[in-house]
Amino acid sequence: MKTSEYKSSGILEAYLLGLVSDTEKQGVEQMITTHPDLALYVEELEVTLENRFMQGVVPPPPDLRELVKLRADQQVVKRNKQTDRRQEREQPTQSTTNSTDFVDVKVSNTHIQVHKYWRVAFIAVFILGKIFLAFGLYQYFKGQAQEQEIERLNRQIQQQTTPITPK
Amino acid sequence: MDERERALQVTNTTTDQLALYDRYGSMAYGIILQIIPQPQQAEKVLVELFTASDLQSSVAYPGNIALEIIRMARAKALEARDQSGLSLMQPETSGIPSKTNLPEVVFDMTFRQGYSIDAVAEKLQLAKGDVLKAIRDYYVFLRQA
Repeated sequence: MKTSEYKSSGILEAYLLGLVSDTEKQGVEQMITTHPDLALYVEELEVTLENRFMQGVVPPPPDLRELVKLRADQQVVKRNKQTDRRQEREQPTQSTTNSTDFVDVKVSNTHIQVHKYWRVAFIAVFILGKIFLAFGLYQYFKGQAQEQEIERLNRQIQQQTTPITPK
Repeated sequence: MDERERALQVTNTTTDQLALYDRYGSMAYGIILQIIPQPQQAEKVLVELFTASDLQSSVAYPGNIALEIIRMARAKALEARDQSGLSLMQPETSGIPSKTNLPEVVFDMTFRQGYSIDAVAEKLQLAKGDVLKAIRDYYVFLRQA
């Protein structure tokens, strides 16, 4: 097909909009690389299309920019973590074969770190401690009250058993 | 890779994505809204587009960045529309279009509604070559407008 026919066929326009199949796309790209005049024509079409869509801009809500920034950061961090994990998976074989390699661990943190389940255990022990303390205090005061009651009763009995002297 | 390099990479990537968003965000949003008229859904697609991992690689390829974003915005909007089960937008004209509005109808069906060229040819009872020519005519109209 001549380039003039190719230009007027509409396939280039459809290609630029992403409307052609993969096979057609490859064909168009091959034609563009082999025919410099087609490449120039495609560049002109690209400018037309870009201008057309630039006329129809709709400003998105301003807070979307922050969301894009946040998501982009998160994705980069996630990708880095995945790379680290992949590297860690590849490294163990090296570390076991070379026993002279040591990991230089510098600890500057004076805090100890424990598993998060210990928090629940600490809270449970604390609450149980409070319950036992309250129970102990209750028993103590109850015992004291009972002793006082016994003493009072003893005194009462003694008073009743003391003989009354006749006048 | 040490922490400094990593932080630099995060900053560079984010800056690149934000630069693209600042330059082409409004254009992409306009395209997405043409396919998905619901703003909330369109905003989701827009964020997804500018945070997509394939965006960086696509725009790094030599070529027109705006065109690449136009194609990606369209593809993502059509994908989101299909996934969410949103109904197709009705064509601007019903029945077989006249010769004067054929380019616009073909553009609407292919670009906005996501029909393939073959499907449009079948629906409008046209040859595939005529559908392609209609797309070209739409370009000519845009250039003159």
